[in-house]
Amino acid sequence: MMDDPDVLRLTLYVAGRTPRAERALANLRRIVELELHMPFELEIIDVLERPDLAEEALILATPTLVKESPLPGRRLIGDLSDTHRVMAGLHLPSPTHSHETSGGTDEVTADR
Amino acid sequence: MTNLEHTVIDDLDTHDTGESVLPDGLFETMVRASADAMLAIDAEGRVLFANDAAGQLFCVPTEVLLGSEFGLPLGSRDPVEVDLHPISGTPGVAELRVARAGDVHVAMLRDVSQRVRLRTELQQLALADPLTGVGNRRSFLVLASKALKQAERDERRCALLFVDINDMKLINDQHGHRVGDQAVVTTARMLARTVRESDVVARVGGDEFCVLLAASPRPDSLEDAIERVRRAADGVGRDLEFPLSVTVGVAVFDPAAPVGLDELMDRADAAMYAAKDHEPTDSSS
Repeated sequence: MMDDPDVLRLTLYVAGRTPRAERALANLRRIVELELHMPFELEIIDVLERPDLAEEALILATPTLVKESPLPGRRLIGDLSDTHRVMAGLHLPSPTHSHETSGGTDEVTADR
Repeated sequence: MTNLEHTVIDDLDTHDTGESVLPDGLFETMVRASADAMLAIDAEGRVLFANDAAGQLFCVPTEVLLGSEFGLPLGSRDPVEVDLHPISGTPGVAELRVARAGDVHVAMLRDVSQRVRLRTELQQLALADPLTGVGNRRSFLVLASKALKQAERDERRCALLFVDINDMKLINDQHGHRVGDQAVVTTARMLARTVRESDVVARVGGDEFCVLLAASPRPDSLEDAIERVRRAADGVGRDLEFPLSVTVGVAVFDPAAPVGLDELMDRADAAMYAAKDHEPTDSSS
């Protein structure tokens, strides 16, 4: 599949259904619904089910959010509760400045 | 302070801070000797420095961490818990605190695995039915409410099943309370074995169980899950030395016409009593 440079591709690595994973997922859903004014794809990887993928990506702690594209890639570790820091960490406009035209969104949740 | 620690600090040069005299290199010594893992991370998320405790936490020589892409730690002085995935060794949980010095993030990780394990065990004890090990009524009310909200948000159907052991009083009277307990435990195990990990099973009364079959992306999987429980329930008394049967009542949660948990439980309860009266009907919300 060709990568669309206009689509933000995110991968969230979590470990099972711990409260830590649930909190990060809820925070990320809130951010992409309310703050992300651009098309995106989100993949969620449970490192307990796919330790090979976690090892391949050298994930040492979860929740870890990885911005796969557009480059430069970024990794953020934590519960993603601070929207400003998440947006800044992803090199995206901070919520107070993000009032651009909304794009379509496309969420992809994979069990891989 | 031990003699050794005295020696280390006495070896360092000192400088005057204006208010007190601190030896040069004191802070580096403190960081290196800290029992908490400390990592200095650049703006790209790469590790610039890691102390020995960091190497121990991730079960690697500290040098392996240097230059690796750890990621930017998010947080503040208020700790957040993160799951640890050491390169070798057992996964654990750490409290993450973050400080910043210019573009450099300092991640401080304290291993709290034992505390989290204890907390989880205590929560499980408080929420589990002691006889059967499945959830108790309290846990069901909390978890099923969450599941209903999730189903409504995701616009997916889910189902609540009321499962009642038939003639429980007769079992107790004729076979004794030990066999009565066995009937309860057998039913709980049958349900726990049959449902998926995302579903909720709880003993909500002496001989009553509730099952919340969580929403699934596959539309037909809810009917499959209900049918699976019905079939397992039909065979619950197989191979037992006393008669055991259960009656199941089903209420389906429809996100297009959402109802609360109490109402859904009432509907499943009513469907169960209708089934006991040989009028097997499913109630859909």
